[in-house]
Amino acid sequence: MEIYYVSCPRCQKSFPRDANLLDLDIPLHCPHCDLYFEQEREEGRRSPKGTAFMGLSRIDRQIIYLPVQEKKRSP
Amino acid sequence: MPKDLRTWLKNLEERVPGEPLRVSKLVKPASFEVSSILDQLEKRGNLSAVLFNQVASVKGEVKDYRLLCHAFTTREKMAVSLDINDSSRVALFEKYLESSRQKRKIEKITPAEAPVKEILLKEDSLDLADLPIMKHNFMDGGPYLTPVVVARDPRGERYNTSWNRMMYIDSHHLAVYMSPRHLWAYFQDMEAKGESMPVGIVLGHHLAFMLSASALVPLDEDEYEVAGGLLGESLRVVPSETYGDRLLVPADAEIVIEGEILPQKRTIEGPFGEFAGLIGPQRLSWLFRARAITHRRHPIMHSVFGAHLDHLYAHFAIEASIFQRVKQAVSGVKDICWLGSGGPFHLVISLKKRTEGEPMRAAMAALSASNFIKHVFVVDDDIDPGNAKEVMWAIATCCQADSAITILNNIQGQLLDPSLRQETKGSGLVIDATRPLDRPYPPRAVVPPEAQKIRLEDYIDF
Repeated sequence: MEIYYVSCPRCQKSFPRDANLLDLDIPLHCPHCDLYFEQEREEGRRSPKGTAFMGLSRIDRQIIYLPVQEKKRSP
Repeated sequence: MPKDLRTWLKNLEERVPGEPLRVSKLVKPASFEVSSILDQLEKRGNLSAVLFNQVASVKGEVKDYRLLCHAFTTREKMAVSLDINDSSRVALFEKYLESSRQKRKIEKITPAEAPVKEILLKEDSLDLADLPIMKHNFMDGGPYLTPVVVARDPRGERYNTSWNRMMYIDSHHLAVYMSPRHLWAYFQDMEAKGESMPVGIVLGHHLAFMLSASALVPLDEDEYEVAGGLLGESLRVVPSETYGDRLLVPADAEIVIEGEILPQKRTIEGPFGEFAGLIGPQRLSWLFRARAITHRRHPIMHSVFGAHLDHLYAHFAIEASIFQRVKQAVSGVKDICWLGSGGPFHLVISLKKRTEGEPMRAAMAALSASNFIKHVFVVDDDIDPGNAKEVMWAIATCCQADSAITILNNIQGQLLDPSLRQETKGSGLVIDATRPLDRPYPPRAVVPPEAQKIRLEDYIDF
């Protein structure tokens, strides 16, 4: 298990995320203040390899489900 | 009367004095109130089951639900679950193994006969936020259910039961995490065909049913039938509201959420406290959509306290399976202890050694039986494997590091072990802390057995 810490842009508190999420163009969810936010792209992009990726040809925001209230907030 | 969570609670009350503890004050599980109570009890060494009679929903409203926690935390409760009087580890292992082999065919009943159908909430009237879902630990990504998920093999009639944590997302959605085992394999097949997979989420049943979910059984065995063996009677099932006979659900469950895991959909899930006692990171998981909820009147939702003893002890079935494999490899094995060993990846084996090499043979059997096991300590049969102090004494007095320790490289590790440097591959350790057979060894210093008959109370006024 490889993890990285990320800080929430709103509350500034950090939390661990799986390394497999590093190079994906998907939002993260802050467990401290409940904010969904875009993660900053980082150097050293890696190929997805975790089990939740299996069976999928591509991972992008189209397949990511956000809570109903988040969808309402999105433009 | 068919076995269910209510008969389990009644038996618990009759057999274990003081259990369950009952909390009548209103609690808010989604605000860590329940986890704080459980944590404080655990720190005081009180591992009683706790029944919360008035619980707030995720929305903060008081509904008809009750909440049961700490149902797995002691061997005495496991004995109630398996319906035996002896709560020693070995007696529980043997009873579990024997019962799980005596599989029983399911008994299908009508919805009118099924307690779980007393209340029906269809898609347009259900809201998952009406449930009293717990937030367990600091940094949990949301309120988490800890249910048994039931699913039918898409290629046949076999049913799978498994523990899967599920994070609340919104009124009709949960994130579901699947380890790469049977349920995951079913879903892989369905997703490849572009189809969703119907599942039932069981939130409370007799603990013998719940134990079937961690049974290490082959992919072709029906876990509803295994559950019947553990219950000692056929599991009663009923057609689901949404899928009819395509998905039969336990008729005596307290609550069943019906729905499906969706193909080509994922969601962000976590962090969540893992069984090892550490916070697992936020990750990508699968998406479940609820279609119906059926439940009994005044239902009791069962929740396992994540990352604490309750969570670890819910793995009892795996410990029993490891005992079986180790005993098959070395018949002199007397007892093992995984869950009470003090570490989630440690196993202690106690055996009566007849030849040198048996400790390593037993250890290898344990390591091959389950990837939950990383470090194996083998001790003589005069050592209680559940007593860490005695185990450490054996290691201190029987081991020389250059010969007693074996390190194994490149073995499959546990996905939830954060010390792994590679996702699934790591190293193992065996410490042989048995006395040597090839040379005289000093006996243990003990007071003579006949002198131990003296009664302390005859000498000292306590």
